Amino acid sequence: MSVARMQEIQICLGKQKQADISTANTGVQMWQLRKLNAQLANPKLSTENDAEEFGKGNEFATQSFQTSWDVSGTLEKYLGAEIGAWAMAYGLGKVVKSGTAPNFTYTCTPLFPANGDAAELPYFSFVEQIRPGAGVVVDRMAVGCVVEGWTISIGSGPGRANSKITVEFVGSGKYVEPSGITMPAATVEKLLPSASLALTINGVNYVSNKNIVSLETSWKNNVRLDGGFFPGSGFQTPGDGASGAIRGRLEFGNRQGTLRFVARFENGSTELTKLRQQTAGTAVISLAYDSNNSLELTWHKVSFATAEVGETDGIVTVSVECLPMLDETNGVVSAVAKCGVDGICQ
Amino acid sequence: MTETVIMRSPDGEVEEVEATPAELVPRMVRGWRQITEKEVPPDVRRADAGNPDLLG
Repeated sequence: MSVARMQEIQICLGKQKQADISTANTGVQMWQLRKLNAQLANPKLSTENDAEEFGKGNEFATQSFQTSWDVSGTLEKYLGAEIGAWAMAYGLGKVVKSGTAPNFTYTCTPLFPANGDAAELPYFSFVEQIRPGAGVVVDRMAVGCVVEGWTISIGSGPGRANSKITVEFVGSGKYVEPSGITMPAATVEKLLPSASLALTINGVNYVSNKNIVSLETSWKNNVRLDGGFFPGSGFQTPGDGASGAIRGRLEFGNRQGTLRFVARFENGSTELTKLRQQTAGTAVISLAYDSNNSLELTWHKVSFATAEVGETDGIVTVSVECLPMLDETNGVVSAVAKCGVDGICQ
Repeated sequence: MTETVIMRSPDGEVEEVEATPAELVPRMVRGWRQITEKEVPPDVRRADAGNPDLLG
């Protein structure tokens, strides 16, 4: 038997959202993407036993029971227009699709239950395969996954590694093995390179003044995992109470957005003044491959929470952490993602 | 010409709006969601709906 190497791993995930948490995506609703990290989304079984029960005559366990299932995973990728659109749509939760091929536009915002939105995020299925079929090594599908959070990192330098996205996801615990999914053809992804960045934060254009060094922005849903197990939430095998409980919902908790950046600090730089005065403004981050493939992320109201002068490669820089706040009209954050792929999160 | 999408408010109001962030984001934050032409309630007629010749 030949050794299985991690380069063989293929993943596909729901491009279209699931009808509900327990209804898996079909193959035609999924797309295959590449990734950078080797981590697998292993289903984890929690068990318990009868050691503490009286009546056995001793303190030792005599039986063990399947209690519940967990699935979680991380996708590390070069930031492309396609994964950018997918992460914004599934991570923020609310999507309006417009446009036609090859320019579909996904306008995404967080959900606001106070205004009638759901607290559950859109669900997708996640498939991992190594040699599916007769010589299978890995072939399984996690059903009912949601995006726990994403992080976009932009650095200085020409390589693809200077524009990356990391997406964390968590699942209901339900999984199907073998997946029954025929891996779709790989998606051709269009990189949103660091060199395409346009960046204005709090009234300063950090690209035109050539001062931006690096940037990181993220969103975290803090999904209420324990709340997914409610009376009646279901079992791994429907109707089999011994097969372990799975979650029947995945709701976001207290969500958090972050934006931090490092910029050259020179005479006239305003970061420390804006920190002291708590000046608030918008932060607009744009990356593009071409006019049909881009990502524009807007934090609608930020002030500076910290600003520390230091150095980067011998140059005086300022490291700023922003506080994203709620703007009464536009909310906290919105994303406009353009790509040539139809039906994302629809 | 700017593309439009159909949006529905939490109160059931239906509007055809320009698909621009300036028009969409404030509505999305207030609970409006996108609907398809088929989801437009039958009692709501948009200005461009139907063929006026058939009304004659």
